[in-house]
Amino acid sequence: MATGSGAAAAAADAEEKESGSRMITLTSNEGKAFVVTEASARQSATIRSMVDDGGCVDKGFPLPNVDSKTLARVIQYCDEHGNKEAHTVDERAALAKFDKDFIAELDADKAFLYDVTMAANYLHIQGLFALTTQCIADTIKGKTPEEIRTAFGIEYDLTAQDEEEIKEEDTHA
Amino acid sequence: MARMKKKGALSRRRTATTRAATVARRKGVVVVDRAGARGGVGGGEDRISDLPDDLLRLVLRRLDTRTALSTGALSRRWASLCRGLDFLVSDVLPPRYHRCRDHLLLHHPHATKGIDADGVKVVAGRHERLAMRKMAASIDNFLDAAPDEDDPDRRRRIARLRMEFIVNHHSDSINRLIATAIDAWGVKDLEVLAAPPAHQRLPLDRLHIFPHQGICSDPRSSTLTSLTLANYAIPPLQGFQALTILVFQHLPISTRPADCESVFTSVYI
Repeated sequence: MATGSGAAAAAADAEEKESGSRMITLTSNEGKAFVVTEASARQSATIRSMVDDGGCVDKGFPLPNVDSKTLARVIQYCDEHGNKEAHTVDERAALAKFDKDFIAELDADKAFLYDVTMAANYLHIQGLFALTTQCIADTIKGKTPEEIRTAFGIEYDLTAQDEEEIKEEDTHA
Repeated sequence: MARMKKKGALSRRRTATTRAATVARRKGVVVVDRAGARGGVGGGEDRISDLPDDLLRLVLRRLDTRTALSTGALSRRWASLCRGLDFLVSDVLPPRYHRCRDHLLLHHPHATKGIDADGVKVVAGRHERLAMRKMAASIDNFLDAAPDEDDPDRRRRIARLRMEFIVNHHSDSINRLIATAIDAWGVKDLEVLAAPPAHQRLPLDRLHIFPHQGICSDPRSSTLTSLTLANYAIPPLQGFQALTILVFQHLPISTRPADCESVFTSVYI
């Protein structure tokens, strides 16, 4: 039993090593191909499950919902988190710094932030999705409704009656 | 997942970005105009409302309850999002409470050497009592301020009520809310979860119970069709003629067979 599981672990190890060096092609909806390491691609649970199911690794993965600009940015995140180690305190601090700069840049271009959020959701990249949704949530925090509307460009379309209902709910809450 | 832009918005801004966008569109590519968002916050078009409901709800879940609910005042879309949110008691309890609770749930009693388990229980209990005292006060204020229930135009109508509370001695307000919901608001679907205090594991040794006179004052004219109770002792159910779905979760092992049988006899009388 022990030797059996040992052998299995060794085999899994070997496979891990081999798969670590494999390259995977992701294709944006504009047909542009991006070649990434498997470790990077595995940041996406969607791609990870397709690879593990023995899917078409050689043919690559078309991503009809993601445009090139967004995909490039998503891959930037995946490369950083998939290819680099995060064992020591320093390594983790470097990743945290990367995340901070990464999201600060996205925050300055809200429309792009939404695209990346959608892509992270579609590709199930947990860390990136948490990062972008938190960024959107932080924009809402500590603002009046009017300020939030301005920040997001939301058009005010509530009727007087809607407003009355909301106020009523509010005062009771 | 193509996002179409209004033509007007494009022609108003004849910038390099939009020209590029036009060229790209001719090639049959989905293009997102970012002119509105240049320079970060402020102005621009409402791209955030293009995001799907599920995704925006996940954003709202990252906010505290009060802030999340306040987004209901932004626009119709956001108002409907807020109504779809579920908030649990745990949302309003502070992080420190959750740390205490995790500690109590995850750690085996024998493994908590050096940590004052009783102290953790006391802190968690204090947060729970405070939260439930506030909840009970809010419910009482809400019910006392309710519009005149005799006036059909002013009467509150609620089809579905889901609530969670932590079992402690503030149950009168909860029972009163449930009775009002069934008697006056015409609730059809009621789900009540009596959450266990942090120091207790399921099943609870102290279940929540309704007052002796029953769940509400007039079950015969109630429109309640679905009732789900968790950590509740089986209540008297006579007279709930509209009831078709009844779910009890986490009944104690000590529940007497006679109590279970009473469910079958009482509902059909």
